[in-house]
Amino acid sequence: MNKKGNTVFFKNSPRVTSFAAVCGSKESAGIIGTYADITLQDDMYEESTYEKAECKMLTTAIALAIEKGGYSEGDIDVLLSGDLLNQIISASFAARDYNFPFLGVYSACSTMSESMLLGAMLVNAGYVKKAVAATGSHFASAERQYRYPLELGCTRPPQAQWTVTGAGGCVITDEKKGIKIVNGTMGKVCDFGVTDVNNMGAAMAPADAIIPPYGRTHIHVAILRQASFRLGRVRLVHSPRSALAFLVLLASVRSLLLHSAADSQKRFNTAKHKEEDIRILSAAE
Amino acid sequence: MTGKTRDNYNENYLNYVKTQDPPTQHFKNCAAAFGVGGLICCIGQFIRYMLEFAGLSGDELAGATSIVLIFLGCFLTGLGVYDRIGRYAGAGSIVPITGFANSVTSPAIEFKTEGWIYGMAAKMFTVAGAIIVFGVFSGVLVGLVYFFL
Repeated sequence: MNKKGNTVFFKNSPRVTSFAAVCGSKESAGIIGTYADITLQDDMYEESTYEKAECKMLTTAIALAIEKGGYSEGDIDVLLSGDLLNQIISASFAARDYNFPFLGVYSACSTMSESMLLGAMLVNAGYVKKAVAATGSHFASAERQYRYPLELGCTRPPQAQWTVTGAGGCVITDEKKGIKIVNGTMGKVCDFGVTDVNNMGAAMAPADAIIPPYGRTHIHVAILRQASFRLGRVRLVHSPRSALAFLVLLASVRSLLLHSAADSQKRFNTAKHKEEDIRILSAAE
Repeated sequence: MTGKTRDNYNENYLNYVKTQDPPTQHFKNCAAAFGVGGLICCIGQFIRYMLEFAGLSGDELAGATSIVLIFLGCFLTGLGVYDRIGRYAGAGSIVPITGFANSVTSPAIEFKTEGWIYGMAAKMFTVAGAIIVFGVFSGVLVGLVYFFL
């Protein structure tokens, strides 16, 4: 059976053979920070602008993922990547550094999930042998584009959340090692009517799903589409957790995903690891 | 296209979200705004006295006080201090003239990386533009009212 409802089943089991993540200083202080390969002390990453830093993080994550898998640039067939900015400029410029084809994806917080889903579909169907799925985001560049300048002295309400500064990439291949991608669900837009611009987690949460536990090597990759919310007549889509969603998959045994304001953990959005089963909360925006 | 309207929002979920949000401490925020706003005004008054002592008077005095306050707002924004004051004080720091200076300086700093003309100069008034438009508009309204009464 290929497809049931919105879930696609991968008969040829594409596998995540290697992965890498880069995260910013704030993220490294949290629970997932230990799983990142590179943590930045300075969110500018020695570049002159935040957009360049975002691009550099993404390039680094992609290069590291490829290197960790023992592949070379010539082995990779396609790059599926995206970010938050206009024209997915960071991902496009990151792809410029490489010699393989680039398929840009924009899906806000579910960019990583969508890249992985599409990568898995391509590998499963035999169109490509090795695909790289990657995503990047940066707090400062998202703030500049979507919200207020950084230095503006306005208050943040207590439920306001932060955009992730981070990038992650993984290599999906048809080889017989690594984490199997068994199936993937194409999600729908869920709009429950959240109009608070600051409360991004509440807008995303309806699209969250708790996936029933599977065996140790099987991960059900759930792809959930954006939960968009409205500000009057304007449909705004906010901030990425795709890097976080990716870090979930990084630690193949232990996965945690947080929607968090500075302090509180929301009941909806925490996953506890047990030895024999993997629970993944995949957040999409 | 169905569209989302007030009628088909998921009320259960929205009520649940409300219970999960940390409560906004209105009294604390108001008190902080009052305190910091008042303090900024006191500092302004103090500067005015100093300038008066230095020999200025009338319109010049008012102008010079404003200049000093605007400079302080820009300076603190450049140092990265004003946004921390703003986090705590809210309206207390954004409403006075120093807040206006902050709202012009912060986009200027932010968009400098996009170039002097299309970045900094063009985007400098993204926040302050609304203030200027509605300020001038309300001035016009008041002027008309004053003229006809």
